[in-house]
Amino acid sequence: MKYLKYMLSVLVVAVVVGDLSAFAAGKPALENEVKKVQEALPSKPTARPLKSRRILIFDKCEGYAHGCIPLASKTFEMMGEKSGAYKSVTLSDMSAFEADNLAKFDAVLFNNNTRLAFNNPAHRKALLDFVKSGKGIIGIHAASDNFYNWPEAAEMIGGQFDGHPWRANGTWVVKLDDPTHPINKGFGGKGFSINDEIYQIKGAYSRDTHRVLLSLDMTQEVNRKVKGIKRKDNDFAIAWVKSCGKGRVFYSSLGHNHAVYWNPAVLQHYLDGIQYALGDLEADDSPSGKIAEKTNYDAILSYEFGGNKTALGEITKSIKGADSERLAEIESELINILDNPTATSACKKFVCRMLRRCGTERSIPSLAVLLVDKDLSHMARFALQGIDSSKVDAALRVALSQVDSQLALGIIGSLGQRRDALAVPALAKLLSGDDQSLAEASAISLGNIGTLAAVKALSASLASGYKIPVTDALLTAAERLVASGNTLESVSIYNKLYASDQAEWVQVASLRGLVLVEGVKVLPRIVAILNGDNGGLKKQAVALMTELPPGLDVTKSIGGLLPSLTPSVQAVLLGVLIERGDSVAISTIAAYAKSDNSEIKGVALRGLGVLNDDKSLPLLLGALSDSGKISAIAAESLCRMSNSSIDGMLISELNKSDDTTARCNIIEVLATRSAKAALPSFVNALKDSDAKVSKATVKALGALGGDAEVVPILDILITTDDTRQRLNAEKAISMIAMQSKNSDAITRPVADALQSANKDVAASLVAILKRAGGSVSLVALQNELKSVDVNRRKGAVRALASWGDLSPAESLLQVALSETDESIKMLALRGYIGFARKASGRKGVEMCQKALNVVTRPEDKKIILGILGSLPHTSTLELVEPFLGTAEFRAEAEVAYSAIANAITATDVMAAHVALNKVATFQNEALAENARNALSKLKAAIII
Amino acid sequence: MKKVVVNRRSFLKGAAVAGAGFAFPTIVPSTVFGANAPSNRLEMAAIGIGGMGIGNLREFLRRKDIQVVAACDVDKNHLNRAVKMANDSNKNSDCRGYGDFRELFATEKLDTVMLALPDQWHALVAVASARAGCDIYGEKPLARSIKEGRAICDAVQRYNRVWQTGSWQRSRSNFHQACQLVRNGRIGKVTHVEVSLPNARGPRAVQSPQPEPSHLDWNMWLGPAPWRPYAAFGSKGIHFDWRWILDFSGGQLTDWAGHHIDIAHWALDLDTTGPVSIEGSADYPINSQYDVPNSFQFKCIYADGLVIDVASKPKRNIRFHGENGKWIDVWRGGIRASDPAILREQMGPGDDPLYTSRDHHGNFVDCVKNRKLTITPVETAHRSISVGLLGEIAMMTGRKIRWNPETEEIIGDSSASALLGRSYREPWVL
Repeated sequence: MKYLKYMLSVLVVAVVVGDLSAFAAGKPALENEVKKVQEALPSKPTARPLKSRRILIFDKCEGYAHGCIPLASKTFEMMGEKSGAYKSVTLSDMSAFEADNLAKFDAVLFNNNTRLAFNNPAHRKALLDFVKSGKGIIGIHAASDNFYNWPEAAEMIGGQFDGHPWRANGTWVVKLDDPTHPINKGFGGKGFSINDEIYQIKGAYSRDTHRVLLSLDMTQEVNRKVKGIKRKDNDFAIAWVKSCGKGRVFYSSLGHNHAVYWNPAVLQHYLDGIQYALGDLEADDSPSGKIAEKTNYDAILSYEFGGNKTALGEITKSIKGADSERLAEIESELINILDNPTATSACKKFVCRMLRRCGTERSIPSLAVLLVDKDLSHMARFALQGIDSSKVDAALRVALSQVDSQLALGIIGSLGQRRDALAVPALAKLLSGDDQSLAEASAISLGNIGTLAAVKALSASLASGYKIPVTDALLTAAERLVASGNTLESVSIYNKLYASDQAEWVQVASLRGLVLVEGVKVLPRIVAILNGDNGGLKKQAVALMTELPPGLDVTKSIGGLLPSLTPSVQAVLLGVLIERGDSVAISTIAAYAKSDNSEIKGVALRGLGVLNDDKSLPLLLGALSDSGKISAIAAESLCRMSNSSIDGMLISELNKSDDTTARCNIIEVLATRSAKAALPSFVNALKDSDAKVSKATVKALGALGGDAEVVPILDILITTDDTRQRLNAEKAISMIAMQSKNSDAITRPVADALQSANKDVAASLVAILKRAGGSVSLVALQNELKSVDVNRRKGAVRALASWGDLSPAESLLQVALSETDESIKMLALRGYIGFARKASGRKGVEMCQKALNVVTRPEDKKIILGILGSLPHTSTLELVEPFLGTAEFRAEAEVAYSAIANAITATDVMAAHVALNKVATFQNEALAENARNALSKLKAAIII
Repeated sequence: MKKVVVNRRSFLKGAAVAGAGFAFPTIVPSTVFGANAPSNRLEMAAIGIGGMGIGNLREFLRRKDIQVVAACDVDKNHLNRAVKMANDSNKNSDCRGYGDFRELFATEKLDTVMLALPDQWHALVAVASARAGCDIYGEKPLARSIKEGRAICDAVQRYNRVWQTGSWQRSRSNFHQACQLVRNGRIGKVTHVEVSLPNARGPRAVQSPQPEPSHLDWNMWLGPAPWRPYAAFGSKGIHFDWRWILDFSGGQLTDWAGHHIDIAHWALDLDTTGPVSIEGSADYPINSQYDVPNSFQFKCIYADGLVIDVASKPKRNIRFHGENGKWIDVWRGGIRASDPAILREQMGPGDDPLYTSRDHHGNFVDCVKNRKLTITPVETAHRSISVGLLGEIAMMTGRKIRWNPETEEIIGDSSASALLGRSYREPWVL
């Protein structure tokens, strides 16, 4: 908005005056301000000009024009004159950038220009040529608010304006990034506070390319507590220098407020920056990043454990994400430190860690020197071990001959890890030497190297009596040989170790190697083990068999072993065949599924289920009528199998089979398989004369059945003469009803049937309705209360008394009032009292009151008094009070009254006070005592 | 209910698939070959008996079929505490104490060992245990580097030893349920998993070297790791807080990779493979006693395009994203799904029920007796921690790592490859 308004006014003036910059420059500088500037300006140059210098001060704006521009131009003109550092001309027209004109100047000073577009390509070329040829650029404050469509120039100036979160009316804390830098000399080596507008810079700005002179001190809260901060790195540079081709750029974003122009320190900073840009003042413009890094490398030279790790951390960080060129630079620095005799041991150890991350062949010579150093040998290996170069191996071998036995152990380990075949002779020598530690280390490394020569050395050692770790090394070497395709030598190693007097686990390892290399050839050895008496080894042998290579021939060979083995071993080998799972395995397993041995048969049937082969179905179906354990396994297998035709086969088997065990199993399998197609058969099976079958059916219907099954089952329930069938049907419908979300669809036919049902049927239907719940059931049961049959009324009262909510309470009270049969009356009343107990608050009190009007039996009154005691209301006290005076109920009434009185202290202090005073006079002394205590507390509470 | 037929190998072979190890067939009981000789009680040594070790020891002492005959630690205080605990439990004074595991293996004839050492020690002691013919209950993470992990796998598989990793989440019903549902397609094909691990403890002021305490063999504690002067890292001296120092641990990342990345692998049947590319970033402290990252995040892509995103977050969960917006979220406190009905699903015909254990230590003992694969065999542990260690390499180098899970090699980056192994300080040789 600010821009728009301004642009409009510019347009109008431009048309009239025809000179945009004249307006952009605004009002001329105030005389008193110019005077202050004149007094504050340095009176001599910091560096003597090498020749007479001329600066073009350019102050045109194509965007917002700062009010300070005239004062600033005047300041820089006067600065040159007073100090004698340069002469200057201020121009405001783009024609200033004609190449001919630029040639007259040594530097261009951009004074707060905004939105300069440089649409004329000739001007663009002229300016870039100018600076790259070795001239200077100076940017003041808004000079970074330009070149939005000209990236080269934006990069030249070093970044772009991205808002000013630190506004002109604030005072901000500035730090010197480079306190001794010549262009910071004016600030006296210390950071400062300044009242000015500070820019946030985006774009080309980077410490990798800029030498940053000033930036905001973000450790200061005043700098942090502003709105509009976008940079995530907290790096808000204010002034910098940078090279551009052969030229020099100085930029400072200070200079929004007029007072800045008569701040002597800032003026000195400007002058020094200008003299740098002109080429007169020597100033280091190498990037800040590089300087910091150099500082870090210097700082770590004296690092000791426990010291500050900042420089270490920065170096570590610099490796992360660095490209290969950068990594090479870092490596060079690290190598220099290794070669530096003044670097501490802790420093060199750190450097080795870093070289582990970025070291190349170039680092090898400097690291190799350290291999013989008692203190640094390990860390040298730490760096060397991962470097992909045979020169590392050579260096390790040379060092091995030079170091003591302790360091040698480490070097031997590294040679082994690197699998250096050329190290074998040296290691072989150590293996047969006197030093046991060196011999063991050499054995391990020879195993890792795993060449034929290594094996030869190890075998010789084995023959001479060494065991651990030579056997392990040989086994390792055998694995290496297999990996490289030399199975012959490996087999020889395995045979040697299997045959010899070795520990059991070494034999296992050898056998395993033979299984992997020779496959089925190993079977005779396994058979020998299986026929032996070492249980542990037998288990291992079977475990190893599971990794014999795939293939029908191998399966056939394993199957061929079976007949000669004991049944237990047969069962185990069936397990092996199941894991192989090929066609030969399946047919072998199927044959054993007919075995008379239940252990074998069980394993085979289980396997057939896992293998999920359709051809196994008849066998499994047949086994369903087998003895308990076997049929259970067959059922489990059928549950597992995925063939979709299984359900159909099972249903037809269910319909035609008259074997009760089989029928039970089939029903369970179908239910587990969620076979809804079986539901009609289940309904039918409900009538099965066998108790087990009908029980299984009830369970299956309960799990799988839905609304559709209710009517046919209801039909059985009503028509059957068989009590057990009726009860099963009742159970099945109850289970369906309890699972169903839409219970009305189930309860309605049941409720309808109830109207014309005989006594027994009615009992079942009432039981269903009670379990099913819902409004339809409630109405039906309430109707049943009107039955002429005493037993049916009793059944209905019982059902309603155990209802899930309070809705039947009133009906029960009515029964209690009007029923003639005493026992029903009692049941109804007890039911009602039960609901009163469940009801909370005033509802409970009301219900108790109603019940008290009806009950006659003392024990019921006592129950009601008990309930009242748990209902803390003032009105309850009144209900209990009349009983206090009766000998028969006093005890219960006192307990209830006391409980209520104590409970209401929190809600009704005054009523509680009165009631507790009464309790204090009770015959029950414990209650009375308690009340007196409560009263004293209550009094205190009331007084407060 | 959608049924998906998946690889039946996982049922047959428990947790494992091809190449994971040689095990007694799952489907038959091994008792046909009698109880484990020579007696019913398996002799065990507990090596490394600090925080995790003492917890494991307590579990094993509870069991009648395990006899803890020896304990080993470089901290005399820890050793004495463990020996006393074993003797109190055994009601005798037979438990023998060792400060050096080499002496332990030279003297004792053991069936099993329990290992709970700082990560820099894992490979040496595990390999020594396998060479001595022991079955091993070993703490996660498997090793401090991928090459050390491979060396452990080689040694354990070489002698066909039973290995159980302390990744006990596999023996918890909620994690089992999540993995079983994912494996059996209940949320469709999973294409993205988010694994959230805890943030690190944060930086700590650098400490000056201190005199070594008399109860601790500091040089032995360091073992194969680079030497440094003694300084108490944290509130319990060096114990526990070693995990914030890269020489000994990868911080929360490697501590939890063996838990949550392990669960992601289990659910997606990746127990014997790994990602093909890993890329990420971490925030390493600049001037701190601790040098593990404060926070981290990396992305793993598998051969079939599956993405596992691992990041330090407050949540500590694993979320599996399936098809049609379905997901399952599992953490130590429970399990959730996009639709609660998913969690009610049972295994049915054609499903592949997942290996079940409800007692992690008991599962180890059972497998020692019957030579079956444990729920977290050694190869599985190696592949779980490999993801964490590759993430560490990607974050340290700042480069995208391309990984061949078959050959276990980094492709085309020799500097990164150098980080796959660690050079051991003398006298230690792997």
